Amino acid sequence: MKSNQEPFFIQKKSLEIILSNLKLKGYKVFGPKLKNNAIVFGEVGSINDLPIGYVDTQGPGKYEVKKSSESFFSYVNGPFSLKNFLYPSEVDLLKVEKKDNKIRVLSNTNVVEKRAFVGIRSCDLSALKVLDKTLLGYEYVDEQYKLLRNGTFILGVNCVRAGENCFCTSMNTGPKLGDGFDLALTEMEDGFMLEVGSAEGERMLDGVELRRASEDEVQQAGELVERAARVMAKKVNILNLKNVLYSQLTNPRWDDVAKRCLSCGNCTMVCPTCFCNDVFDDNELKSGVTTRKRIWDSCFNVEFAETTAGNARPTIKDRYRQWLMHKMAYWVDQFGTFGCVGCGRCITWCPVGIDITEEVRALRGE
Amino acid sequence: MAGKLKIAVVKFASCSGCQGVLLDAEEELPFLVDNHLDIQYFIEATSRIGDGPYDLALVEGSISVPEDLKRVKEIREKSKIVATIGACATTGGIQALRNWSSLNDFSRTVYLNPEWIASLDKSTPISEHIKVDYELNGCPISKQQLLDFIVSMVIGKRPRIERNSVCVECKRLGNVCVLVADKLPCMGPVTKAGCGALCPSYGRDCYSCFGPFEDINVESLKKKFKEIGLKDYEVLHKFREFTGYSKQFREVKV
Repeated sequence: MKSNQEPFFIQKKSLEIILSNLKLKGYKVFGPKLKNNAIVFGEVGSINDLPIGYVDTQGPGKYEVKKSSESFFSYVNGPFSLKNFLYPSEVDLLKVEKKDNKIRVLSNTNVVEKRAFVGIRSCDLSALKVLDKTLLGYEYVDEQYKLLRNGTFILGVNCVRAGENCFCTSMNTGPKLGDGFDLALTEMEDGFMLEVGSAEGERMLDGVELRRASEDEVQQAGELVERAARVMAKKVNILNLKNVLYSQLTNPRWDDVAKRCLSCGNCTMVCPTCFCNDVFDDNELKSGVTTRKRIWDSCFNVEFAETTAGNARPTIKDRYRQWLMHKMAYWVDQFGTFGCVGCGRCITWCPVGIDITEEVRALRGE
Repeated sequence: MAGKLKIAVVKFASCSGCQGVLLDAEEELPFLVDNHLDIQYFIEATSRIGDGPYDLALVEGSISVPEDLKRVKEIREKSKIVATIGACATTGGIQALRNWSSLNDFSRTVYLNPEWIASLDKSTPISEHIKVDYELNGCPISKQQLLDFIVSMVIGKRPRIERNSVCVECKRLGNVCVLVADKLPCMGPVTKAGCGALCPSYGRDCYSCFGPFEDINVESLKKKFKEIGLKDYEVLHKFREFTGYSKQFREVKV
């Protein structure tokens, strides 16, 4: 529900008022924070918690962050995404109690607070749409995700800088935010251009000194985002990509990448759309309570495709191929969209810097 | 459940730290012993000695001295299930560092009467001598993993012993990668999960006390370590620590 309203222009310090409005309206506010030499998401109390001035430098298997500007949002993305909050690494699915030889299902008492996420980039908003489609869009709805997703407030930020590993322009997922945000900022030299995407977003503007953005400012903001798109160095050619990849299942490039791939699963963990999981029961003998848990798993786990009839993907080559094919081809058949949003996290956080854009290029013979 | 599970906790060459993990389960152990476990043999905990047979033997330590060759076979014969606990029992342990050196040289340097030392040339994992049903890794093992394992044995379900990398656990916890962001030589990408990514959670690099998972890529990680500035011998030392004599690490050369 993108608003047709013309954008506003606000002072940078006005973001503080928006944050406090969110809190007043009962939201727990999360945003980018500096932790252990990286930008991660954490609870933010005020704009002073934001990593203002920090700029990240990323490369394949490389990440550095340094203070070198005055901007609020000059970094692109860190290792974590909305997935960490909306599809958490561990959730309880069911609790049952066995007492006096009777089994009783204990009610799920998960209380979900309203959460607002500040500084969400277009790649991550796109990833949210992929997760929505995957987990909510079909006959079997993921109730846990639905519970956590419901009432999520998104304060998005249009990227005016392209990260070294970004390729959202190729995947048509950025750098400009599509619909789905409540509020969106574009950072300019002396303020933010502010777009309102929902009535809830509008409610967070109480007390904010607003003025209509001038035509010049709107144009300038647009140019900043377009420039980020233009200078984005990494690219994937998605033309007929699914069919091209289906025709390359025996390409020797898979052997080549298997020599580099550690099969550690980092790419799947940082991927904002990877949702594979393992379900197991945690039995407590003393209380008689069994908790069925769901925990993130990875298709790089050697056990992942193991069946009583054998392992369908016993080698690293099998598993890397499965992952790339799923992101770029199988996902299209399953869910009508790519499983990749071009955020580049898998490139940055692969310890040995395997670059999915390079692999696709090689597989395409380009 | 037909009666209590008869267990033995057996020690070979080791520091007793893994047995200590079981004793450290102060919250859980009394209930387990009252209701589900019959401790037949656990020298560290009780002087009562039951000769077996056992439903479950938890075996700590590596095979390092000649008399253990026989004793480990007896344990196997007496036990329905044998589970090794810890880096020594599963990989040979820190004492397996001697496997790349001369035992004689060490004996002569350390002991006044080296001729009194009766020791095998190599310290070897239990699985090189008998069939092992389950392996719990770590130096020491994880208390949570041990308790989950015991509970699984008690109720008769397949234990969940994760075969993912430490990286998967580390990312689940929301840690920032110390290898990528801090350029620390972290062994997480070749190390089996189970510890709860303990070291990286405190900002240091994993030294693989859980040992390797099944099909690791040693060459690729070696290359990365060199790229972040490790010298050849430093790379070798990363693979020659507590689990250096695991099947996958022992062949590593630089």
